[in-house]
Amino acid sequence: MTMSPNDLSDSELLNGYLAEYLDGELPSTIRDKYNSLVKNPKHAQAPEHFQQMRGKLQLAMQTYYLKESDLSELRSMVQDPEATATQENIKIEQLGRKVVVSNILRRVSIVLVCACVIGYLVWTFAPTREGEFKALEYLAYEAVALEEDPQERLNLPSSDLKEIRQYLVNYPGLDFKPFVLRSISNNWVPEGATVINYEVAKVTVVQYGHNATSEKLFHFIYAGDLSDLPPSAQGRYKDLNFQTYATDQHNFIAWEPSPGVVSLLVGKRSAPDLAEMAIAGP
Amino acid sequence: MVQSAKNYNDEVINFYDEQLVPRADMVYRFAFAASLNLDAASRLVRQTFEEVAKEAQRLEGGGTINLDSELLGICWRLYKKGGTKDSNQSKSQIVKVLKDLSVEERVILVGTDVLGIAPNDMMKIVNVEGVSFRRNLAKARGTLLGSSFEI
Repeated sequence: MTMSPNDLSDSELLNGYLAEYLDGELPSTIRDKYNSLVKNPKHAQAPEHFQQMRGKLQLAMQTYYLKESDLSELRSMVQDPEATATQENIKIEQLGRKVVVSNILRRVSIVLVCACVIGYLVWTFAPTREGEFKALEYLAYEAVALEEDPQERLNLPSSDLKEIRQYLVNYPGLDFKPFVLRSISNNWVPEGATVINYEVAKVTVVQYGHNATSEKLFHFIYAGDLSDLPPSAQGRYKDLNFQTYATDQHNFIAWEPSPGVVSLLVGKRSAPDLAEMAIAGP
Repeated sequence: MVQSAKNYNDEVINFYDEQLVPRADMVYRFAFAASLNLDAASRLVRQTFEEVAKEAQRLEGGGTINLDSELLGICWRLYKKGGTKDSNQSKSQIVKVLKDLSVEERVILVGTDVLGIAPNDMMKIVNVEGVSFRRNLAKARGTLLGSSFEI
């Protein structure tokens, strides 16, 4: 029903629409009259005063509320309290189980994550797996050991290159075809051969001795790839492409005489000298 | 006397617990405004919810039903039926302000300005048309504004 300005007295209009005036929602039919009423100094304070008193009334009514026992009684009108309690206990139990499962899953996840992190760290930083053949490291040691005690470490002490070749070719279980370098030079005499068994790799060794000094030369061969060795300075002598290495005591040159075979010549001579000797080839 | 609970399905029980029972305080304040007596107001709330419990299934499937209006309408109807009589009025500050108002004036004041019921809905609840509603409301507010009511 649309209110007309004349339906109510001025005070009825004023008090009856205080809330709408404060909210800016006066009906259009009474808006002009209402605004003129509020402009009257006698009524100017009415909206603000109403706000204060309405707030006090609201706060006072907030202190009136039902007790929990009254609310339980109301709830019991649609469900027996015992049934409610049972359902709540079931929900609590289900929730408890969910929490337990969630905790277990969380702990398992944490353990798995930790295990993965530890596993990664071990894999990255742990010492090399047993079985990996560190050719340079092992053969550098062998060269020193052979120098110190040549007779004890050579299975075949011999100065006969054919005999040495025969010995190596017939050695069982080699993954490659061994060869010996042809006469390196007249100054170098073969002193014997042996096969070093590292379980993961077998290495043939031919030892040479200088006929004027006690200098030794060692020719190692094993099954592997040149790319397994650390990157190093590249060298080339005639048709021989090689890589050079050095320790405090020896120089090394390494080359691939055939695919899958690595050959090293180790001695105290310089790399170019070693290369010149190695070019003699099988 | 509380009737034994009927066999309601879970949806109706949940609706009653989550949508209707939380409105019990609103009904209690409305009932207190009508009766000006705390015990009477409590009884009126119980009677209202006994009625509401019977209607719970309808209300649950009602979709756009205004639950505030529905509950207060039932409460007002029960009050007018005489289910609760005024006696031993409370002596609080609020009662001092409201006691000189008619029951329509005070429930309209509390419903509109305290419970936040829209004027059109309050008109339907107390079955009072537009001009009379505004007059009742204006009278009640005038009494409140002229009082020295403090919390």
